[in-house]
Amino acid sequence: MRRRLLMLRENVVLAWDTLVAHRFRSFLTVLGIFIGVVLVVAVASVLNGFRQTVVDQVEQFGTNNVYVYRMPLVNLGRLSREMRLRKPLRLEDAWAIRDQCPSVELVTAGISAPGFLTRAVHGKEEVDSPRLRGVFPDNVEVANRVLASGRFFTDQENEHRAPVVVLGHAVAEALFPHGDPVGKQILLAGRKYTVIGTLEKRKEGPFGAQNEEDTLFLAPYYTVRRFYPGLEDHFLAARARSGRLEQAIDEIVQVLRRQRRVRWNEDDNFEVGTANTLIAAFDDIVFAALAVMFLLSTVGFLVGGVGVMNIMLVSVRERTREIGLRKALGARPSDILGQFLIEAVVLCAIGGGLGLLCAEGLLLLVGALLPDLAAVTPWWARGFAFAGSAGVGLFFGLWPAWKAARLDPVEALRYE
Amino acid sequence: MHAAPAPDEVIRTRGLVRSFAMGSATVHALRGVDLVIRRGEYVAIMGPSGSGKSTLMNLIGCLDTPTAGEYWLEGQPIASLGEAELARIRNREIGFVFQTFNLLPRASALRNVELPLVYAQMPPAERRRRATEALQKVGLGDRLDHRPNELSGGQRQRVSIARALVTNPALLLADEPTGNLDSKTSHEIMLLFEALHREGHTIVVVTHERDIAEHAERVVTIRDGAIASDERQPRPVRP
Repeated sequence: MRRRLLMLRENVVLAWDTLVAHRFRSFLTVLGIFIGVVLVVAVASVLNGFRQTVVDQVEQFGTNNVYVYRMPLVNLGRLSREMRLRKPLRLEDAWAIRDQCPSVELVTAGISAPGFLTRAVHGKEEVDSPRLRGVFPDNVEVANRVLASGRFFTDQENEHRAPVVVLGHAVAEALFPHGDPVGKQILLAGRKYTVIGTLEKRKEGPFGAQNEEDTLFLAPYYTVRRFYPGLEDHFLAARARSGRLEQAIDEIVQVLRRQRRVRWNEDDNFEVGTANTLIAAFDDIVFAALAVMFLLSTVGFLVGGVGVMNIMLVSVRERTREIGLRKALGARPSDILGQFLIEAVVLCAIGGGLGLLCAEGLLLLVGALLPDLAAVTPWWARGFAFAGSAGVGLFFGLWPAWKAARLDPVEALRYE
Repeated sequence: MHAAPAPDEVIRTRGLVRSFAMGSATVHALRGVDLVIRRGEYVAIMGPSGSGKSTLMNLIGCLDTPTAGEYWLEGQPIASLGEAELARIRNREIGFVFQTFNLLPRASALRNVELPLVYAQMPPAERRRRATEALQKVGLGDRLDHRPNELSGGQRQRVSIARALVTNPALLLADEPTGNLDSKTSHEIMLLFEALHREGHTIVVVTHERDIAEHAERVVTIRDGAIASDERQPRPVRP
């Protein structure tokens, strides 16, 4: 083992000397691998940063929350007939969860008013297609909302269907560019509401995109019901007791199956999600993008690999006499094989290493110019890029190295 | 009689044949050579080009394997060995000196001399010590870090001799060692060989030059792939 390491060190030093002696040629050879590595790391970093902002956004609601929807939130392709025909979630379902699920600490329900073709107006300022939600006061707690000014509405205001509203950060800025909105009146889809509070800004989405939560108008549930009596599809959100998320999910599923009269042999006709399942659904999209990137980078690596093989064949030919000499002095075929294989691997690894450095520099530059991109290089991208380039050297160096190892010492020594 | 080599025999060949296929024809480079070289002998193998002396040298040097016949080096049968074993034998038992020196151009003299020890998998410190000793022995103790292009032809051949000696081989095998040197330098190199001979090294020099061969104590002449003559000279010529 010690001897093998000795030989390995010998070969790495030798490879380094050879590559330094042919700096320019070596660099041109690994250009393909270099670019492949830069691409892998850059794209992976941007995607990872993208994912991280989504994770932050989702986790801002709390990681102990369980959300119930009629339809899946992320759905690739068309909804099935079964999904389209699902009956709505009702307010009674929320009360059933509250009464029958010991692992659930809080449960809240809400409805969304149709905002299409309506406006929210204050003075000369307008917001098109406002997103009005009717919620219960404990929505503040379940969704981890923080008030920037004023207050949230009370149970009394809810019971009495008071026309009050709490504004998301973005709509507050849009309707009240100067001055405090609290106490002012706005016109929302033709009805008057009094603004009683505004919310803190939520985390931005990928590429600095606005968080949808910042565009909400939150009004008491029964107020919205009064104005829109036809709304029947609710969204439910529950907060599990600390450390009992799994039990809470099980209990909620059991209660909802009973409430919605799902037979024992039928699948759930509703969707239950947590921060983790939302992130996992999003990860499917990230993964698809990564798969495409890996495919493309593989093409780059293959092209680079062919270049490496070519230059290694040239190198073996140029150094035929040297190979003959080494054999005469006692190099076994396996020693020669190792020498050229390691040379190819070192060549590619250096190309890959330079690519990593270049990618870091590029990301620093991009980070300085576009701070919203929030690229974060994941460790596995560095690992994949580096191992990939070394692997290319190993694979494409094999044939030239084998040719070198098979050379006949007499012929090789005579080679001019 | 089945030839078991005697203990003092470095080389014993019996009926050594080497043929090459040249297209459809077969060229017989060696047609049955029987040769014994004892420990401490200084032998010149002579012959015109095409006589088969290079083929014989390649076989003796374990760079090539015979088509037929047998070969013992230091009592070990060689003819049937595989490549890896031949490499090991070349590494331990044979020191090559080439006409064109065959030094690695980008490596220092020391590094060149260390090369066989690398393949003997010797630790670096030990390697360095022995290579330094070998270079001192050929009078280049002050040129350890010079590269081949910083050395004269004679010095380069000395480096190559040091490289051949560094493993302490059973046989020093020189192929036209003075072929690329002027006559004065050639003379110096031949004096070095004589000194090594006096120290007890077994030396085989392959040459086509009469006056080089005359330095040896025994001259084997090859003609048409067979030994034409095998003469002992009373004593080496000392000009």
